[in-house]
Amino acid sequence: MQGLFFYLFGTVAVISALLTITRRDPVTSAFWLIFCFLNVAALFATLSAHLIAVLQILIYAGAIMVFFLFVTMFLGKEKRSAERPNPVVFGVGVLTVGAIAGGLMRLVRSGSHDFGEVGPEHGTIEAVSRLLLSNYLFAFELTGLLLTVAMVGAVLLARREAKGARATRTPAGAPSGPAGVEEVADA
Amino acid sequence: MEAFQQMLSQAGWAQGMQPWALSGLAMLFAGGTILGGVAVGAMFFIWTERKVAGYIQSRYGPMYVGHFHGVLQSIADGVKLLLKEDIWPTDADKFLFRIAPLLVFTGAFLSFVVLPFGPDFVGASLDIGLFYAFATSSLVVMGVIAAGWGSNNKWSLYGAMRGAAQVISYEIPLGLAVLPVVMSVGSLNLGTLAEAQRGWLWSWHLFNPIFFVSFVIYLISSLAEVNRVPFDLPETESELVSGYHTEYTGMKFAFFFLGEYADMFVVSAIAVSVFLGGWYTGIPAVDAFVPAPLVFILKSVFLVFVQIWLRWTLPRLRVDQLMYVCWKVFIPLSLANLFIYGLIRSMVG
Repeated sequence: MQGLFFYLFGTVAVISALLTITRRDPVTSAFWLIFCFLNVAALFATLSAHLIAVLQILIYAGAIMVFFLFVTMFLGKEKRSAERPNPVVFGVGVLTVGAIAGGLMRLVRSGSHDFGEVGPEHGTIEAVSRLLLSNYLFAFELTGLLLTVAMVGAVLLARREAKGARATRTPAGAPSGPAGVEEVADA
Repeated sequence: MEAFQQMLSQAGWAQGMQPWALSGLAMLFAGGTILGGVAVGAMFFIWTERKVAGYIQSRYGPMYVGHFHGVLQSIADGVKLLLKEDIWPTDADKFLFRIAPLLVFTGAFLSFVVLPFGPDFVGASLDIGLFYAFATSSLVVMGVIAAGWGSNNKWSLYGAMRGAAQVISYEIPLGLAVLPVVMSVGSLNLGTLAEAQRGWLWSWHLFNPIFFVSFVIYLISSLAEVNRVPFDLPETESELVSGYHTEYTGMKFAFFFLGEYADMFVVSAIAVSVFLGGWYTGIPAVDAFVPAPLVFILKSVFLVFVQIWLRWTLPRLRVDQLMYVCWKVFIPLSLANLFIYGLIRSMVG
């Protein structure tokens, strides 16, 4: 039963990943990527890592991809249509993917990284949070700090740009989104 | 689902059946029950909305279909929508245009799996039920974006962009607001959260001052999450025709409609199980003989009524006001609330 679900979701995930990189329209690509994430979440769920599965949907599919789509919609049509890939870039990409896949296959075949079976309680919210707040506390806090720095930086950049543009922009051209909102709130 | 499985085995159907077939059948039954409930419930809410709107505006609303106050109006409308021509806009993105209504409805429908209608009436008692419900509701946003983009219409696109910005913003206060309650109970399982409010009325989380602040934030944010007035910017009729579903006709439109009302019920049901005592009536003696699902559904329906009531009472906010309320009022407030609760807990122990 588990095997069946694994192959089902795994196959669909791989197919939708392929569709993600072959579609011309970025919005369609993004939807296939979301579909891929949903299938990866299902794979996590079959491994009884429920928390990770839900986070995969909530964070990746729900927040990050929605944000991607949001930005894509803001771009002009000429920036949106994907060009035919540069052959050099394409070749490098294929080589890299091949190398990673080969390395993974060797790792699995060698069996030296056999982590062994874990119980069904391994993926519960308690287990994951305990690990995050004990063994991996430093990495966890560091990630939080990194994200905060990134956010402060983004806000700073947006504000500086908004201040520079204020003199020349007509009121009708006010951008929506966080930067525009900040400005209105200040006024 | 376990209840269904048990029912099936008791009915003697399970004789000589493989366990996987039995659980599959139980899943099918549970899914069918939820689907039927959602469809009928949504039709009832649509009728309620029109009646309440009528009374608030000093008119009757639907009066003729079904003889008694137009009770069958929604069925008549459903049949009408079913028979309508299915119109595709020129240059619409076929794929996105088609999947959008499905995504919206599926997102709302999936959340029903974890709603605890009673101690034994829950599709799947997940440990992360609350999280799961928030995650599935993010599918609705994707449906909105797919609709807006796929329609190839500028009003739809504006609506979709507003919807996306609004929903991803309001998910944050929505999640932060319930965290103090989760901290106090120590579980994300909606059933456990409801169970923690057993007893007299004052053991409901609503009557704890800190949780009350959470409840207010949750209630207002949930209005934004389901795109209801005063936060219905994605479909403002006065500016965007009908927002992201401008181009939709017939059953595709009906799915958006059903999805919206199903979603209203979901956010209300979550509020009921987290803050309003779940399936408990608040009087222990009464709990013994009143069926739990009835209490739960009545409470949720009341909250849906509140949403309808607000829609016909309040004017709509502006986009920037909407964002201001979220980022500069609700998020700091819910963070402060969470911090104060943590502080109290660590001091009291």
